[in-house]
Formats: sequence, structure tokens, C-alpha cells
Amino acid sequence: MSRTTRWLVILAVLVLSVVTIAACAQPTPEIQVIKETVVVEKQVVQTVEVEKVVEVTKEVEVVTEVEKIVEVPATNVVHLVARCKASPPYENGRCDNLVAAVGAANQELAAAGDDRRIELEAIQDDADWGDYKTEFELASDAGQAPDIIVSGHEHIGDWATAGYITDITDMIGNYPEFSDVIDSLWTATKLNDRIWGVPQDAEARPMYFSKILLKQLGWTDEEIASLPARVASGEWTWDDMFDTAQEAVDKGIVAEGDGWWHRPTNGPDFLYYYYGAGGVITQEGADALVFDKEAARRVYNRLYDASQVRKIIRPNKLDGDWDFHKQYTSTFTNVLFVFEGTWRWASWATNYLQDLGGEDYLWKNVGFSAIPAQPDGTDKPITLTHPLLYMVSSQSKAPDLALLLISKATVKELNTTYAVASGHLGVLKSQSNYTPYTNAKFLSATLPLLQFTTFLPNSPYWSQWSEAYFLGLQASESGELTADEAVDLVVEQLQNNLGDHVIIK
Amino acid sequence: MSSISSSAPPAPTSNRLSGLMGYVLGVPVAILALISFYLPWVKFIVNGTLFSTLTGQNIAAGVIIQKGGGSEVFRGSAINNVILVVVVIILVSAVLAWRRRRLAVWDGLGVGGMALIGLLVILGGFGSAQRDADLAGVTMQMTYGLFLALATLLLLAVAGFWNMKTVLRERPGIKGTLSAWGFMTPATLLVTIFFFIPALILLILSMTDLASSNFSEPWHFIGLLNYHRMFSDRFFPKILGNTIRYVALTLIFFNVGLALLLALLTSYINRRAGFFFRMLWLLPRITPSVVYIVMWRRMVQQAPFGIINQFLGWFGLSQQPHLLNQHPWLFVIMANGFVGASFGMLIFSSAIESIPKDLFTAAKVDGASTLQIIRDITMPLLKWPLLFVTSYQTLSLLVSFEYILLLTNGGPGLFTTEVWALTSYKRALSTYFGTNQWGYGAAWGLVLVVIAITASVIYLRVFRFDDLVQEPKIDVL
Repeated sequence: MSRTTRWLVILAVLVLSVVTIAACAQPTPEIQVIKETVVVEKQVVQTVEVEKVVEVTKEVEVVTEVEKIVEVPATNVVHLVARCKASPPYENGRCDNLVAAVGAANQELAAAGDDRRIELEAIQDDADWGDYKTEFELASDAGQAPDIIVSGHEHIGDWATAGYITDITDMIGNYPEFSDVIDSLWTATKLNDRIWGVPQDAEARPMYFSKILLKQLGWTDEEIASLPARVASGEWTWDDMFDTAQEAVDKGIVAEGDGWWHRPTNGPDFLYYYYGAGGVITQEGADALVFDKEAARRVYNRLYDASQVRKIIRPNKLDGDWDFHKQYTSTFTNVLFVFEGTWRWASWATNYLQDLGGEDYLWKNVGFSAIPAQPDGTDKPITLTHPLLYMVSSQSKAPDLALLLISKATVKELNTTYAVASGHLGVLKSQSNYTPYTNAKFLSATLPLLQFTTFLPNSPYWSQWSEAYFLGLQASESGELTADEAVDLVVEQLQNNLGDHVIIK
Repeated sequence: MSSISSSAPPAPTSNRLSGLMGYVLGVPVAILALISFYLPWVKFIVNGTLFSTLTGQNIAAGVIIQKGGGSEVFRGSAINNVILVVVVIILVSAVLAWRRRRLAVWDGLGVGGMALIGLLVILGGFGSAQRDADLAGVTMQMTYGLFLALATLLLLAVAGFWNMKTVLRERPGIKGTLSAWGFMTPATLLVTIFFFIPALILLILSMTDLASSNFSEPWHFIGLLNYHRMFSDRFFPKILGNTIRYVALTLIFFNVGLALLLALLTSYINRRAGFFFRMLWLLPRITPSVVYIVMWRRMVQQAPFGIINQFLGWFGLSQQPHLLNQHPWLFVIMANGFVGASFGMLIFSSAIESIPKDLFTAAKVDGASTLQIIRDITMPLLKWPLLFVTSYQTLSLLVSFEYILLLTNGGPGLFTTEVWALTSYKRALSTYFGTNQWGYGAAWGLVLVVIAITASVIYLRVFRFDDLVQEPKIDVL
């Protein structure tokens, strides 16, 4: 290789590196783009004025001006992006309802003389909650957040604190549709008394029971039919459930470990165990979350008792195997009691029971009630609602249009279609006497569960609190630690991870 | 003179040149260092009024501008970081130039190169600050300080390269060395960009409390608190033990052990059959991770499902309730090992193929058995591939967690199969409710970097890397 060639190679490498690194930089012309946009907006404003003139004096000779109007675009199309986490096909309505609302929103804009028009790009995602949440955070940090994000209400804790979502407290009054939202659901949208989102759905997390297996245990039809009422009155408790499950195992009606099942991963459900055991998680006037050792000890004792003593649940039930869980529970011939969500009803019927008769099979063989009371806790039946919210990104260029679109999706027609398809509860007052909603047997039947409902806290510390609490659940259920040891472990983890942000009681 | 390597041929140096260049380089450097600290580079206009300028004093703190009712937070830290980097570069250059008193070719290259990098960093950082400003709806303006800084850096770059050119003319012998460096540059750049810089960022990140709820703010430095948290976690020893167990067992039984066995077996059987079996063993490698693990999960699914259970049923044996939960480690190591074995197998078999055939022929003539040939000829000649595969696979296994994540997610129970990299991933990026603790996760990640580097150094010592890469004696003669 000649010297010149060598130098050429070195030079080329340098130039390439320079170009590569320079390409990583954000180009400054962005400012120019913004300036151009401003100019366009000015033109648009003028156009509107001209249009008004035309309307008033239609017959007057303004032909040249009319021609000018034609040159300028008649409308200013605003591109909005919405991101929804939804399991296809039954939850598609989360995003589809926004798409369906575009027409109504644009009509309202036209009626109001606003020349902007919404163009919506909806992206549906079925990632895990954690991944989905991270995606929005990274997108926000990169300046590419979607205008509308549909996510769990508890994410307000992080997102409002980080400034990623818009405080809509002062804006919701402009959209009459929002006054139809069930009042209690607004609780889940608040952080520091400000509202950060609009409820999209709600649900209950009931105890499902197998009528088939109860009959095999010798229960009469009357006893089975009255179970939901007995649970609701507090007469039939969590302890009765464990006794019944144990009886089923002992008699060989279900296999060992199949008497009572809960979800196989961490999730909102486990918080109602704690609430039911008398635990509180927030404290008036305190930013920190509360961990009540006594309530947690009761929960951990129950799980240890269930898996290690009574053998009504498998010690490794928390192994994350959703596929097996959904399939194995679906027929209600394997597991007697299942703590699940109302949405699982649609999932079982659609994905697992088509051959056996779908929803009819469920109605015939499965019952549901609130979660039974814990006599040594609050002694009241309980359930938990985890509403999803429509939230508006603080990066949205047109938060008013995003909210307009959300308001048009928050109507009984669209929300009912979604609720019926997905097994979620409605979020609107008007749905209680809207025939398509009341005709949906499952929704009407599960609606009364809302009287026992509770929520997750909206707090930036919730996730870590939940992770630590879940360690205790895993430890006690797997039998690796006793309830007392599990409480010590959780306290240690909480103090290590949250420091001053947790109050141990 | 003293700075020139004794092995290089003596060459005339120009004191006149050095003196001049010293001033040309040194004076702007000093000026630049001053303005970097004391003059504003950009200013921000919020709601029509000049809100703040960013100067050197803000470097440590970063700047937050509350806009309107305090709901929008503007982060101007990017430009501060840029200033910090550039100032460090310039100060190092200045010290270099001053200490040498005279300017050799390396000063020219070094100062010129660093000045160029400085320019690029400024441009990149400026773009980033601009983006922050756009997001917050804040107007950003350049000030004369930035122009001055850019101009000076440009001057430095030109001066540096001009100096290099002059030295080159006076010392033609150095060109060979320079071209060697030229060829090293791409690799060096890659290692710098993809290892040293991320490791440095990891180190810095591990001293912050960066998490989802403060992601939009400048980093808060909290010293070694994350490390304190990590070491006081009661599962720390368990996770460390799991990691050692996972790496050691997978390495011994599969990535090196089975790989070597496969390479030897497939080399000593019919050539075509050998190829066929190697191809079979490559299948796990080329299967996408998720598909591969789904297959494993289907194999060991809980009764009444599961392929293994089906087979047991056919043979009248009792079904296993849940093989994966009963023997998690067995399956974690097998799933990883089946993928990992193919890499070593390819390396070893190609190494065996490249051993001169005369050695084998000679051994056979002397009456050596196959085992003797393997022990006395093949194995000693595989020392270098063995070092490579062992060290490379150790590092791969240390940071690999995707198969474990998909197979057991660290369970069943409490951290039963959780390895270090998985913990780091979970802390930093994956919790059920999605509150990520990037700072804390980085602390876990950094320990992995330290372990990996230590392991590499030990391997290099044990296998005497220097001896292995020495040029063949025959060429020296």
C-alpha cells in the first residue's frame, strides 16, 4: 500500500467517523420548521376571516378572494397519535372507540367554526404493563410521546410527578360528556387533588366458583345459588372458602393444590387481600405509603396455610405461567375457587370454551361473588377496580383536540360496545338504563360488586411497595419463609428501597 | 528529544516550530477554558423574557426552568454536560502541550483530534439542548460565547493538523507508526463508543437515583447509596451464587465440555456425517430465543399438558406435576447449554481441521492410539481456541439472561434461578407496575462489568495470553 493510499484510508476513516457522529446530533433546522408552522397558522387565521366575509355576503363579487381561499388549504389537519394496551380481540375497543370518535369530533369542530380537523393514528399494543409504561416514558424523554395514552390509573403516580401527562382539571368542564362519568371513578384519576385522566373502563375482580365441583361436594342448588348473597352479607367468609376447598381436596374432588387459585404473577389483586385483612396503604397528609405489618402477616399466614398446611393451592402457583392458568381454570372442572377479573369471563368464553358452548357454558357451570370477608381483618367482602384512563401527553401540540376526541369516545354507545365485548364494567351513569348495556347479562350481574370496590394508590412509590409485598407473598406461599419471616423480609426490603417514603406500622 | 521513543531513528526537531506552535495552541486553550466557565453559550427565552443563561457555574446542578404555573419543567442540562466534556478535553490538551514544552507529532494529532471531537460534541449537545428547548416551548439563542468557542476549537484543529504535517515532513520514519494507528482507529473507536463510554455512563448513572418519577429532571447524585442498598439486600449472596453456578455449570458441561466433545466426535467420524451432526447442533442457535424457549416450556409443561408428560403416559409412567418447577436449574442450564455448545463446537472443529495432517500421520506411523493422538497432539494445539471460547463464553453467560427470563423469570419461589444480569434488568427496566429504577439497576450492572473484566484478566494470566500471541519463532529468524 503506498503512503498516499494509507493516508487516504486514514482520512476516509476520520471523515466517516465525523459524519457518523455529526449525524447523531439533532439538526438545528427544527427551529425553521416551527417558524414555518407559525406562518401557516397566520394564513389560516386570515382564511377564516375571509370565509366569514363570504358567508355573510354570499352574493357580493369577491370572486378573486374566493379563489384565494381555494389556494389555501380549507382545513388544518392535526395528526394525533393514540396508544392503547389491549388484548385482541375483545379489548380492541380501547383504541377503536377513539377511531370511531374522530367523525363526531370533527363535526363538532366544523360546527364551532374551528378549521382544524383531527387525523388519528391509533397504535394497539399487548405488551406487559411494565414494558408498556417504560415505552411511554422513553418516548416522552425522546420527545416522541403519543398525544393520548390509555394506561392504568396508578401510572399517574410516576407520570404526573415526572411531568409527562397533562393536568386536565381545568379543561374537563369544557366537555359535557365527562359529566356522565360515574363520580366515584374520578377518585382513581387524582393525584394531589388534580385530575390527570378520564376513566376508560372499570372492572371488578370477583371470586369465581365451580358449580360442578360444589355439587360434587354435596351442595344443593339452593346453597350454590345463595352463595353470592351469603358472601355479600359477610356470612360466608374467606375461612369458609378455605374449608370448602380443603374438603374438596381431601375428598379427591379436585387434585391437591387445585382447591383455590389466584393469578400466577404480581398484579393489583393482591392488594385487596391486604385491604381485606385490615391494611391501609395511604395516610392523610403523608406523601409516603404505609405498610401495616399486622395486616400483611394475616395475608402471608393465609397463603402459607393454604399451600403448606391445607394444600389447596400449589406452592409454586406464582410461577408466571398464564397460559396454563387460563386454560386449566377455564372449564371449572379442575379448580374449585378462582380469584380472577371480570374480563377473564370473555377471555374464557372466547378463547377456551368455544367447543363447550362458550358463554352459555360459563353461565351454567360457574358462579361469581365478591371476595369473601376476612373475619380477622375488616370482616367485610371486598373487590378491587383498576380503571384504565385516557391520559393526554404533556407533549401533545393540541391537548384540547385530544380531550375532544376522548370526550366523543366517552359516550354510552361506544363504551357499551367495548364493555360488552371485553367483560369490563361501564364507566358512565347513563349506561345503567341503556338497553344494550342492561341486556348484557354478565355486566348487569357484576355491576353490584362495585359497592365493595377499592383502588390501587396513585403514588410514585406504589410499584416498589408492591414488589416488596409480592416477595412476601412468594416467600410464604412457596413455604420458603413463615409469615413472620416474610413480614421481616418485606419490611427490610421496603426500608432499603423506599427509605423515608414508607411508614411501617 | 527525550519524549521520542529510543527505538525510532533520531530526527532533527525544530525548536522554532515548537515555540511557535506552543503559543498557537496554548493561548487559545487558556482563553477557551476561561470562556467555557465564565461566559454564557446559550440563553433561553421563556414567555418573552430572558429567563436564564447557562454558564459554567450551572454544570454541576443542571438548570430547571419552571414555565407558566410550574407545570412544565425545562431541562437544560444537555448543554452543561457538553461544556463539561469540552472543558475537560481542552484542559487535558493544554496540560499536554505545556508539559512537553515542544510539540511532537502526538501533540498535533492529539490536540487536533480532541479539538475535532470537541466540535462534534458541541454540535451534538447543541442539538440536544435545542430539542429540550423545543419540547418545553422555549426559545433558545446562541450567544457570542458559543461562536467564540467554536471558532477557537476550529483554530485548534487546524493548528494541530498543521503541526502534525510539519513534524511528518521532518520525521518521515514515523509514518509507519501512524498508519498502524490509523488501522487501529476504527476498532478503538468501536470499543470506546460501545464499551468504555457506556461503562462510564453506567458508573455515573449508578450514583444517581434516576427512576421513572424523576426521569424528566436532571440527575440527582446520591453518592454510593445504590451500592449500599445493593450490598445490604439479603438476596445479594444468593444471586451471586446463582450467577456463579449458572456460568460455571453451563460452561463446563456445555459451552466448553460438550462443544469439545462434539468437535472431537464429529471430526473423527465420517466427514459428511460430521457435517450433518454439526448442522443439527446449530439448530438451537439459529432458532429465535422466544420460539426456542416456548418449545422448552411446551416440553416441560405442567400435567396434564407437556410433551415429556405425553411420552411418559405412552410408556405407562406416571406424569410429572411440573418438571420445570421441580428441577428449574437443570432446565435453565440445558436450555442455555444447547444454544451455547454450537459456538465452541464450530471453533474447535475448525481448529482441529487446521492441524497439519502430517502430525497425525506421523503419530499413526509411530503406533499412537486415537486417544493418545487426541491427548498429545490435538488438545495441546487447541489451547488458544480453548482460551478464546472459555473467556468469550464466560462473558456471554455473565450478561445473558434472556433465556432464564423467558423460561423461569428467576423463579420458582424466591430468586431460585435469578442471575445477576436478570436482577439488573428487573431493577432497571422491568417491574410489574413499571416503576423503573435506572440508577439502582446501573449499580447492579456495574458490578457485572467489574466481574467480567476481572474474569478476563484472570483468563489472560492463566492461559498466558502473551505467549500465545507471540510471533512464530520461525518468522523472527
